[in-house]
Amino acid sequence: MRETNEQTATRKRGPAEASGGTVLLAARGICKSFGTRAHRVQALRDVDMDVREGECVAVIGGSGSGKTTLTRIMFGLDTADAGTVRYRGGLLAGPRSAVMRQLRLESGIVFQNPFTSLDPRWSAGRSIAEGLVVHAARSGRRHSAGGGEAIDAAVRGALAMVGLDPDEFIGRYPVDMSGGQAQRVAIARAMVAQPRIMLADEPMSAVDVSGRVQILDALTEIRRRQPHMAMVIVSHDLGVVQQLADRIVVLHDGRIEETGATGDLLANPQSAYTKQLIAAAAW
Amino acid sequence: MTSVSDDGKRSKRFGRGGHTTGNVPLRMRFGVIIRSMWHQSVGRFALIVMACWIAVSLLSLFWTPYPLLYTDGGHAWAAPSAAHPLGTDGVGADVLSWLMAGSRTNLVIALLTMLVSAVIGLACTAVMISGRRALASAGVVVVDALIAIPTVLLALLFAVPFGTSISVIVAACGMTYGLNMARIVKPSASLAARSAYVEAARAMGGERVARVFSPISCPRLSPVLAVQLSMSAGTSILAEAGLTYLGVGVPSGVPSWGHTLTTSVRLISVYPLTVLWPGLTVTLVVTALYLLGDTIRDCADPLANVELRKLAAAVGRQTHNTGADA
Repeated sequence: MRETNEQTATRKRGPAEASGGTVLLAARGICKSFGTRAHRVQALRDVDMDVREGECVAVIGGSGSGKTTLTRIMFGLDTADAGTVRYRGGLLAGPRSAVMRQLRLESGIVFQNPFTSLDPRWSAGRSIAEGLVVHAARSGRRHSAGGGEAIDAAVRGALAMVGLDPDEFIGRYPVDMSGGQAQRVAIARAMVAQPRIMLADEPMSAVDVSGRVQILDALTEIRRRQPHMAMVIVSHDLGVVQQLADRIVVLHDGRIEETGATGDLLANPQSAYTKQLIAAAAW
Repeated sequence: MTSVSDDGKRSKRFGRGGHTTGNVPLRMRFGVIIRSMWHQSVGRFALIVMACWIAVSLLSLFWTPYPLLYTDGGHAWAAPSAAHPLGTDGVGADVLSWLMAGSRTNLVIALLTMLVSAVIGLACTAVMISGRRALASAGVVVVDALIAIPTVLLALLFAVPFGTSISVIVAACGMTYGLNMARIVKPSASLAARSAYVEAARAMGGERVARVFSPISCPRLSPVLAVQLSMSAGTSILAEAGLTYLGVGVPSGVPSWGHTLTTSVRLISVYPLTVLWPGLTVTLVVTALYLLGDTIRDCADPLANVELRKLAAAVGRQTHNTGADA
């Protein structure tokens, strides 16, 4: 039987990291390359990764290490050249497969730049409600008389959860928001349908320092309120990772360099590359 | 959690539907857009001309100064007078009556051309930005090939089996302007389809093309659509005049501005005033239509019109307050 990267790295760090809740999302042997045959860049090389129910996994690594590519493949936004992704045991076989539809209904994604990931011509309320409207349409439910009210209440609840005043922000457009406010609206959009699993792809990289604090508070509040939701966070910021993540996966040059419990890995890194990352963050 | 409010009270204040999640009811949005247009001199001009055009068209359904079939052979090519404010044509028919009745025909042609070109243009754009590369490439090639066929040639082709009629003008104009529109809208639609917010919608289970074209997302394309549709309407009026002059437009006996121009243009050097009125009308309306598109683009886009954004914010606050009152 093939010994996977993650299994190897996990064994180095002890059995505690392998235990936990039910595996929600499992990637096996993921390979991905970009570019032409003459200039091919191997972004991912035989990567395995699991995300379990209720845990927050941080994927860290330098620029070009394959963090975003891996998580995009795991959440069905990209396809792998080789390897498989399973959601709750079912294989993600294609964009129209039943498992993919289930993943789409049960996942929420926060993108890097809120000003491009929110429709500039839609108010915050409309953007947040979109997921609920799509889900209602997908599940074949027609809008009943109270449907609009229920959506309204859910949208206001999501805005309140991320620390934004619903009255002030429900009708506000992204152009009238700061980076931190816009990203919190994007987080509210990802959270409004109460997903089982959430991906936050460098959610703080496009905002200023005060915005980062607000987003971190919002994500911490979400973890507190929804302890069973799994979260995958891609970040350069080890401070954020330390506060949010239960487990860290270190990617380097398309491979998993090391993985382990957050406190354990940050206190006692095994690989030279992880030590470099931690040392660089200390600056 | 804040508001879920009394439906009756909210309906009274904001109209029915559309007021949840900070959405502005269409009636209120329309009011702000019209007010914004009115505050611009160009927009005011366009609105006044459009209102006059529609009013005259409606009036002509019930009343014209003279019946269309009335002719006064003794006063052919008469100059403007109290009896005939815009004069008479070569058979002594009242020019004002024919222009009034013609405004109705041209309004129908402009509206139908907009509709047909919008359907063809958006359908072709949807194919050209499809995720299936072969289909998208084939769509681009087909549109590029068909776009080379001129409106006049297409009208002549349609006129062979179907004869001259308003339908022929609408079909020829709608098809050519629709293809042009598809080519112009495609870059905006492609950008929208590749944008992060469409990807975010796709991640929630939405379809890519549906997200770009759905009625709720049309604001992304509405600025370019507003300009293109108004240009289609304006150009269809010019095309009607040209095609009627060539004999493949509006059939003889059906009033239209092109028909009035055609009947009076033969003696332009002798009776220039009879050509002036229909020519002036066409110029005025076509100019107003072009300006209307530009103004709508500026006033209906929440990114460009801060009043729309203020309204949305106010609706978000008022919705809650009404709910609290209840």
